[in-house]
Amino acid sequence: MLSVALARLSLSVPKLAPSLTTQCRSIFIQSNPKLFRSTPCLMAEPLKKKKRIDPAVLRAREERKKKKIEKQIRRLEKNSRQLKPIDELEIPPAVYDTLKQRARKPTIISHEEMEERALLLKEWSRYKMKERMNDVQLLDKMILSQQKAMDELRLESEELYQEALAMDLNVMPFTIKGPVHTPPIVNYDSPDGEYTDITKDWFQPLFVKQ
Amino acid sequence: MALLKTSHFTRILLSGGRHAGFVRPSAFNFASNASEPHISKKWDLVSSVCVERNPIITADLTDIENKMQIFLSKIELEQSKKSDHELRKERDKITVDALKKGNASEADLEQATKATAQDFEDASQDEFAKFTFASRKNDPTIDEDARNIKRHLSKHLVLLTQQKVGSDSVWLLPQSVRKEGETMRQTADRALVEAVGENFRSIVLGNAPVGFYKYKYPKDVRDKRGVEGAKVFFFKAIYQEGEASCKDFVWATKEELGKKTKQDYFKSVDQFLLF
Repeated sequence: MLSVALARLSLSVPKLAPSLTTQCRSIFIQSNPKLFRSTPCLMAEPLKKKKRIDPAVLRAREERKKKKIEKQIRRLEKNSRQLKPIDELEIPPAVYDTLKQRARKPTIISHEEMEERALLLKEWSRYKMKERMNDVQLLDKMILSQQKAMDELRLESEELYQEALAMDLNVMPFTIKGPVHTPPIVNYDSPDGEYTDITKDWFQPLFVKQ
Repeated sequence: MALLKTSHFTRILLSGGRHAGFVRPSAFNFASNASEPHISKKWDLVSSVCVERNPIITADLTDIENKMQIFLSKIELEQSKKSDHELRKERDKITVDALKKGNASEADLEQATKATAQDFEDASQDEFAKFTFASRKNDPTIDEDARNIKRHLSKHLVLLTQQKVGSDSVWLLPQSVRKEGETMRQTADRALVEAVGENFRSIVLGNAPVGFYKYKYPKDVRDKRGVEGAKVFFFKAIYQEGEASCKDFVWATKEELGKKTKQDYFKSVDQFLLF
């Protein structure tokens, strides 16, 4: 079998160096020689010599890869820290899945209770309307009082009037804290301890001094 | 001659009625006294400061407000869904019942030994009960002491001082006569410092006066000094901190202000008080 293959080869190809013919080997020696022939990998680039990499350099490479991934994680987290606009807010999926469990038994409101509620709402709207009217009257009274004072000042002296019209730049920015439910505790020992906030405040003044 | 200008504010809601245009009272005065030239009369210009101590605590709710608060919380509960804590409580209850009946699994036993939701709730309630807030109600002695800044925590208070006006001492807002070269605002600042000292800190809101009051001097003073009277311009200030170092001063509520000061003076002051 093998001699037949060799003979075939010598017929088709001009007589080559003996190395080439010997290099041609059949894979299936026992079976049909019409099948595969293979040669070892000829004319390929010889394999590169594997250099020993310094373990420090290796470690540095790993570190860099880790840092890159961590940076990406931080960037994604920063996105989640920013507040979404209210229109984009959705029910958290954990809650959405358990909505059926979270439903309350519908309370049965008696007819009397419903009537009471309706009357209370009407009374409340009347109360709030009165409150609003009072507020508007107070404000108008105050505006009128200031207008009168300015008119009188102008009658007295135009110069004083102009000086009174000038803006007081020390007042802005104006902050005032509203009333609380309970008064501050005297000599309160805060469990977090006392601290003074020394963060620098960079702000644009509302009105630029000229 | 001072110019007459139309005001900026053209609509007023006074006692429910609407006026088509804003009518300036001073315009009328001018028309009626057309024969008397306005310039010849001399008036003392006085700046007065109304220092207000804003309320420290919120006022008590009225009846209707209380009812509304209860109603709103009921509605909120009815329309809400159960929270995680409530679900946990229910689950714990089921495991406890199962344990009692005896048909509990290993996992249930394990869970029962851990702190239940009810335990957590009780512990939170205990912690809240232990913390004591400062009382909303004052000692009656503090409320009665007119010089105490902490009286009537839920009300607005105004600083009143007793000053010598002419021959008698009168209760009024700290004031002082304008000197040459001062603006009204500078006079106001000086009046405050003279009345209550340096330690008193307050913010005067703006250069413009908020109120006006005019009074004539008695005839002999008028003839002696040649001044018709005094025109008082009120400035508004908000108390920040500090002690008033003054002999006779009072932190007055609106009723006390009405009682201590003259009727027409109080009427002018009442115009710009927002309480």
